Amino acid sequence: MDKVQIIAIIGSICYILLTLPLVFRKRIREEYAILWLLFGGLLLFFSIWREGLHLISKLLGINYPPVTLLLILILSLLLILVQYSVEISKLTQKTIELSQELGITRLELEELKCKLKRKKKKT
Amino acid sequence: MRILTIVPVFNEEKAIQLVIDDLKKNFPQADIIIVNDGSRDNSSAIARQNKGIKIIDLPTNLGIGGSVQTGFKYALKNNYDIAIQFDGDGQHLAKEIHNLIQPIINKKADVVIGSRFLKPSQRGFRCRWTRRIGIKIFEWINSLIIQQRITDNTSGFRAYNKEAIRFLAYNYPTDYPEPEAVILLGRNRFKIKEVPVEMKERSHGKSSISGLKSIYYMIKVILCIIMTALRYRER
Repeated sequence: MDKVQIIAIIGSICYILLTLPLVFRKRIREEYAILWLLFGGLLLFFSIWREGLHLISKLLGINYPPVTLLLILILSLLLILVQYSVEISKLTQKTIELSQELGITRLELEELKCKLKRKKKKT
Repeated sequence: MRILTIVPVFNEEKAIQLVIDDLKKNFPQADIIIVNDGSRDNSSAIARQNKGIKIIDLPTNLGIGGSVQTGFKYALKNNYDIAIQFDGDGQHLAKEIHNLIQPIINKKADVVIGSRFLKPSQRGFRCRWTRRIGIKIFEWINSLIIQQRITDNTSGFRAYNKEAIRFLAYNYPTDYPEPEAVILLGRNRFKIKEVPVEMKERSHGKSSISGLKSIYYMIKVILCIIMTALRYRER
């Protein structure tokens, strides 16, 4: 086992240790955890299984196999960021709709209150 | 025929009363709904002193698109036949509403836009040259996409019939929605018509678009327009 492999294994374990407890304590919802854990597992897998990493690197035409690990890392971050953009956009849309509904409902509530007051005064 | 005037308002305490007075005096047949887009000043309180006006206070600042859409939702819920979009900063004139809604009443259009640039005379306020360049670019892009020349794509003085209200209550752009809405409506086969109107220079406050923001605005709106043009039709 050489230095770079040890660093890769430690790095992958850190990546998993960072995210797994957050999922466990429900600080990250499961649907967002999937990508984190999937890529954490993938990184650890290829850090340990050297031959597999070499094989894939050869297929991709990468001369220095640890670069493949970096590639996986970059890909994971890219996908997670895209997922975040999608989710943020969804949340923005929901916030807009909720605010609009809340505004309209407040107005209706006020009107109802006024009507009720007038009715009470009459009786 | 039930008509609703939607007035989006964000920090317009100096202009709002003038706008309300103008609407009440020059177009009293319409109901007025003020959509207060999370103003930090007294806009809402001032508007509330007027009798017979409805006010929606949005809990957060949604931007002009979100507030106008709130008005459409209200119009849809309460079964209005025509909705008029009328800016809260005092640059639109209530006496022009009669002209604005005429094509809808005559069933000649689903959407009518009040244009500053259709009148041959130079009367009334037009706007700064930088903004006019922007408006020209929108005119060019929009005519290309919907095959119709709209001269004032950024005008926020518009009238909509019931069909358009129903559509926009669920599909309305946020932020700076006007040029995008033209494409959206055109692509979805709404009949758009422009009528010449006079506008005033805003009486108080500052335009929400200036400096660096205007560059961001142009890029964002152009992106939105292209995307809207490429998307499938909603109806």
